[in-house]
Amino acid sequence: MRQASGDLRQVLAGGGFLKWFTADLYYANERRLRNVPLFDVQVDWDGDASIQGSMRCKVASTPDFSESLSPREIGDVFAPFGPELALVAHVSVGRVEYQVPVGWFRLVDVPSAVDEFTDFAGRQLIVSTVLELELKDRFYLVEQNPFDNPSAAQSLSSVYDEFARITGLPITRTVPDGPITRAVAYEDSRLDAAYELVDVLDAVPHMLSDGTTTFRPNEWPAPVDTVRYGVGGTLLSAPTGMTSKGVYNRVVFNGEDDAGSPIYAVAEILDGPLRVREPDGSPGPAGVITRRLASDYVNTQEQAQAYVDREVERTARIASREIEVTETFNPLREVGDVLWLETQSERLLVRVMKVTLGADYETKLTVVVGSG
Amino acid sequence: MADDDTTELTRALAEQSSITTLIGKMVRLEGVRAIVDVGGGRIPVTLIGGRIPRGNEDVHVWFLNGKPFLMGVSTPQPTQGVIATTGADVVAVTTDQGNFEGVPYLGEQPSSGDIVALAWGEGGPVVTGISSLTPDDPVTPPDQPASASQRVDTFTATGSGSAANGRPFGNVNDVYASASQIGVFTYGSKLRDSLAGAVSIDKVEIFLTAKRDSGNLPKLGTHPLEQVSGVTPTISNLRPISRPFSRWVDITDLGQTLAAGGGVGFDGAGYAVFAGINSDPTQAGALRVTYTK
Repeated sequence: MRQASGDLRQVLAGGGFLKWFTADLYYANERRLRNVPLFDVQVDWDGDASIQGSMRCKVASTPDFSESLSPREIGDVFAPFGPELALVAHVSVGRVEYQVPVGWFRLVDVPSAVDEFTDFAGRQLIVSTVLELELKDRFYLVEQNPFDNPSAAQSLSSVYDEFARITGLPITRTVPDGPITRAVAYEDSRLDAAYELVDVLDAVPHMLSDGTTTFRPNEWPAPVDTVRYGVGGTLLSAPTGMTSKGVYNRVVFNGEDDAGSPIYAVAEILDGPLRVREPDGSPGPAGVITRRLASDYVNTQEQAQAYVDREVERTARIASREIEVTETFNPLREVGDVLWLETQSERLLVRVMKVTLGADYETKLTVVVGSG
Repeated sequence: MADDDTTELTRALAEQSSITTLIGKMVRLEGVRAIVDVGGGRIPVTLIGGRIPRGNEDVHVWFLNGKPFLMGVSTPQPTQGVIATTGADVVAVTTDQGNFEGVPYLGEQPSSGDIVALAWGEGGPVVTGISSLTPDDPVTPPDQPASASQRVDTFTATGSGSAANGRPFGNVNDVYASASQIGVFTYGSKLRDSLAGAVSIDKVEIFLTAKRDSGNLPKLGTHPLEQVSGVTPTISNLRPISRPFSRWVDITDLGQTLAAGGGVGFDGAGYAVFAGINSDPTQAGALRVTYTK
């Protein structure tokens, strides 16, 4: 949930507002353009991806002096080498306007740049430029810069410090910090190394709307909002479905301790419909669905057991339901938010895994269902 | 699969292959294969050269495209030690990797303090001889230098507001600098989180946009708030800033204070109003910090 005043949350719940997107264009920590109107905006966040945020939009400009905004060379304003857009969602009711910073995105691609010309006094003048832009969040920068040589943590005292060191991203601390259990060799991808490192804290890297990085706990936090139908509600549709993908009733860990001895830990679900076996020892109705885990950061038997216990408990508690929720436009939704979802028949505790903010007045969420 | 081992290994190298690495415990040798416990299973594994591991020794088992190979013993086996004590036909040896009791020896009996060579066989370590001199300490590569580099990050303000001195913050989002009003920019915890452990803070600038500018020069300082909440804080480290106000203003000397937490505020002097984050969410009050970390 992005930060907003209580007034804005009421406006978003009440409907009947206007909304549009603008962006400020930054290059080398300087603002080059301010309040650039964007259209056909689509922003996607996927909590399971490694570069979680991506965005597409169009920019139209009418130049004062018949110059073109189309990028031709590295270093041009809209050349995809360095510019970042700070995306802002505007919501207005009457004379009141709210501005919600949505995120910082790096320009990656300009698939199309079209200049429109007109004849004037025997010359051709550019009257408008329409650019299509594709952008990704700042994890893209980390992805683009793999390690020169294999390397390892220089200090084991803090996951946050080591994360900041290998990614170079500014950070905001949320989940409690902890020590790194052992030095692990990083090879090739900085982003993969960063994700594995943050897993030590049972969390996932997360990009905040101010462009800093924080960690999103895997453990579900308290719900921040209620999505429902009806008067004062924002829910438009929530067709439900079930999948067996990603559901396990048995988790196995294989690893190595600091003395070079094997670590092997198993956790199983022994009751409920997902039980691994019946009390008499015969297989359970869902069969045995095993997930194999390995992590170099686990170096004791106790850690391994805690790891598998945690994971099997989580896959058992988080049922196999994914719901595609469509609600009215809400720029405050973030991946990882826990919400109450009130459909006509059920009241569910859900966690947001994907968010799509579009040009229309809808926000699409993909949520997983926890206990009801 | 009827392929021989060489074919398996070649394929593993030539194609995109699956490699699983496990640690197991040696059980015994059965024919030419080692029987190894990995996790909950007991499997036959192909031996690769070297000595045969003893029972209960920890060994590396690699699966190359589903075929297991025993790559060696996973605990280090030192080949040099110092005699700690001597007994009848056996000695105790101290090494960098631990102490070994009941070690047999070849040739004459070594005495305490002798530096000896160790060989490892199926029966464990054996003292094979006494070194004629004390070897030099091994040369290790120097420690890796701490990798500090200079960075520039822009920290956007996440809150702004003003209220009369000592009063609770209300709906005013712009930042006032006047005799009766205190205005603040807040940044959450990201300044201290990101700047923690910085070797040096080389430059700090704040972006200000003046909506109104009259009277004496406004005074800028620091405060401890990370959100705009409660009553107005006391602004410390006050100093006047010079005109024009709509620009990046250098406040490098406040760097260490800001790195410890808090934000920037105004107190006293003339009557100036700076744009708050509702007017300019991406750059009002933004701090551009150049630091080495």
